Amino acid sequence: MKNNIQDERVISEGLKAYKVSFYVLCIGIFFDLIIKFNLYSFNESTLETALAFLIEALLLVTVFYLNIFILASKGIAPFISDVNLDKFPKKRYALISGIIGGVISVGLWTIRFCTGSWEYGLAGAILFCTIIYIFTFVIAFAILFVSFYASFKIAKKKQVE
Amino acid sequence: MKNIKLIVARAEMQMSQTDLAEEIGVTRQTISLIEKGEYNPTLKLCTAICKALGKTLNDIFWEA
Repeated sequence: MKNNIQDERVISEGLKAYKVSFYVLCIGIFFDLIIKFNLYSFNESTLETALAFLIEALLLVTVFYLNIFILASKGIAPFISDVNLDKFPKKRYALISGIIGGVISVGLWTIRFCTGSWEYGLAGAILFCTIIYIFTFVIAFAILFVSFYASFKIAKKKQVE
Repeated sequence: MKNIKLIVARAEMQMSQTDLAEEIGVTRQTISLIEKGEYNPTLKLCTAICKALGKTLNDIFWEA
């Protein structure tokens, strides 16, 4: 009698490929959004481009939330599996949010500088980066902290069960 | 490290890697990698291999 089991190695290797593709795709969409945001703030924007930007951003956020909540429903707290689940690592999320803020603010300025559309000198650059940094840090921290704290709680509950 | 016990057990049953793979429902490459010690199978797959070869887990996968 045949054991109709699936080839776990093929599944496992496939999942690794999907994982890498998922991260590459998400990073690609993220940079696409940054570029679109840059164009949006400099040129006349049509309703279509604004809608396209909004839909793309919503898609990225949905994928992000789906990913972490599917993991949480399996009892895995995303990105904190190496940390003792008794305590939520707040500092880690502050650090991640800080890095995201830094990358976005410097990235946005770099794109504008490289395209020759920056005319406000060094002080303007520092001011621009600071404002964008604070803005993105607050948003990133709010999104990350709320979602990861929720997933942490769900994962913890699942582990107790 | 090669799994000599598995290779011997399979030879005793006069099965090729393809035969064993078909019996269990995995690819031949998976059997080949297990025999070469380059893939660590789950308990479920180990049990399926043992059943197909008429051996116990101790006979094939236990290292003294």
